Amino acid sequence: MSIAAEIRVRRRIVLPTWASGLAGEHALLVGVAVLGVLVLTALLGPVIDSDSATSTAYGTLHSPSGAHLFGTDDVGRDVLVRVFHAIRLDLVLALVICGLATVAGAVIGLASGFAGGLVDLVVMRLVDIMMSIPVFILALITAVVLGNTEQTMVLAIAFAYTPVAVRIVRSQVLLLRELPMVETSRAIGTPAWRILLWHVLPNTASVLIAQATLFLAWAILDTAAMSFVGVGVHPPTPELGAMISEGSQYIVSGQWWISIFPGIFIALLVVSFNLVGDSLRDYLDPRSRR
Amino acid sequence: MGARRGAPTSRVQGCRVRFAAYLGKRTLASVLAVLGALCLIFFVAHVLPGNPVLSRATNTSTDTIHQIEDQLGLHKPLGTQFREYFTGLAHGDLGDSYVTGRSVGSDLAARAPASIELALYATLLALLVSVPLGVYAAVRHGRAADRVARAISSLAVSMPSFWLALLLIYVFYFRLQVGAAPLGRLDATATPPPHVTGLYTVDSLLHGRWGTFANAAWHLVLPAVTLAIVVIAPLVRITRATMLEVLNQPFITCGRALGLSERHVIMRDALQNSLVSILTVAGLVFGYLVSGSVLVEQIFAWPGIGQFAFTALTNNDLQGIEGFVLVVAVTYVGVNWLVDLLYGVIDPRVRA
Repeated sequence: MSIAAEIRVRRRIVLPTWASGLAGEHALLVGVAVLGVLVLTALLGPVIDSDSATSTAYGTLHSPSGAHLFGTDDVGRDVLVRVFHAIRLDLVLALVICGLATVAGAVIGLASGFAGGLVDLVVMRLVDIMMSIPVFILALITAVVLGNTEQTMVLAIAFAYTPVAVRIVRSQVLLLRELPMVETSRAIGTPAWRILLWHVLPNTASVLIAQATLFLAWAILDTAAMSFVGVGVHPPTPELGAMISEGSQYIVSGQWWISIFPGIFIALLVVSFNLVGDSLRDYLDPRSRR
Repeated sequence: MGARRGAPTSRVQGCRVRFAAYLGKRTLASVLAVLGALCLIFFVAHVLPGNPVLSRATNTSTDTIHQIEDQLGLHKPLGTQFREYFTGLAHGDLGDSYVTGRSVGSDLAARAPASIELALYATLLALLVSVPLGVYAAVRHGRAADRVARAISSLAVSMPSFWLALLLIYVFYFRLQVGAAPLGRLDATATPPPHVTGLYTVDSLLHGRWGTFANAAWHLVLPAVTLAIVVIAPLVRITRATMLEVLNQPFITCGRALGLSERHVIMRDALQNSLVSILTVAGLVFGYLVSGSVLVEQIFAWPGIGQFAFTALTNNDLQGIEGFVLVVAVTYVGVNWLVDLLYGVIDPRVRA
């Protein structure tokens, strides 16, 4: 999670967002376009360029050239090909993390907000406690303790994001459950699960979708950061953060391309998810608009 | 007479009581949050199904693992471990680090100044850039300059900090050869100044050691710039947002109508009224940076709390990790507590 988002979530400050009107649509378009190109390269890149991401046949530490646009790394692998593969892996991991955190957050938030009373109190205290540790640090510690594999990293990051989603869904539920339609449903004897599923959940969806897009941006950054410190995805699997880590020792001897290119793609992915997420939130949640 | 004087006095007293109640409530909540965070990490470290010894040391024999578990006290019943940990904590003992063999408390205390110094300069640097940028964006609301400011802060927040650190090292240390080597707070040949505050730049000035000061400042530049770029976005956002809000208030229009110069209206009236919010976020940013710069400290070999956490994590040093989380939670919750407190002083409405 970026620090900006972290502070916004933690302090519950509803900051006026930048994007409004036409600017918002531009941001959304740019974000979607960049993402589209990146997803396409991630999907088609490895098909068109059939070179293997683990092939070491290209000579070590060549600087970027016509043959290898992003150069080759210390064991002679093509950085461009590895970046393609890494984008695909990172997108998949981010989607899984985002899905897990969003679903868990929705379920817990719905239950807590609708049940109220003691359940709500306990859940919200737990959320407060989890949020008194920075997200990245909580995820890092959890992943290390759980056994330092790709799966545990995904679980740990999703675990650390869940309280954010819980808080968002719960605050929506608190508003929604006071609405006449919910009251009416209850009065005519609709069971609670049905009210939740038919009336409350669909109305939290818009806010949740916007947050889920932002989760994707955070997940790309946090996955890369975890793999950079050697938790989660391990070399030789191509992953953007792990690739930056592999190239980091060559930075001080001038072979910049191994680390710098993967980082550029992390930034591109994160910028576009942020743009889409911010625009969606402005569009779907009128209260955050200024 | 008595009645007339009585009313305001009791109102003041009522305010004080309410403020005390607010303060008490916030303090209690903060203390509970820190204790909760410690329980959470204890749970994560001791109860979750992973084996912290196994997850790193993959090819050690069962005997070695048992030996390490004995050493860490992991063989004892969970309740005993929990009680021992919190008893130690109550006596100010955070346990001994498995890596360094020293007490975690003294390790962290020795490293805190390095982190504080770095976070301090990074926050100041970020403020220097983002306040003018945010003010300018607010003044030119909706125009090109506004969009540029937005683009700069979105880009800054999207770059991974560890990558940015490497990029800066490449450009300024390797390519231009103007940056300091990413190897700590001073050159290997320099001796640190006598300990007063622990901040090398301050201590060296106090003792008039200009050479040491220059050296420490030189080493601070790259890591501080890295962290500053990471935190520019929230500062630009809050500056722009509060400035916009203030600029729409009647007293600004009034100032303009009175013929005050635009410069005076913006720099004095509007900015001064926005400073509280800006400084609030700056405080939060500082709290975040003191404990949150694990990766950047590691890359620059900065001997701070973050680097300690990195070593503890990569070596499965449970006591070290728990000590680090204590520091993180205390800083983080503490800064939030302070901010709430200041809000309570400034704005009586939040006390309710």
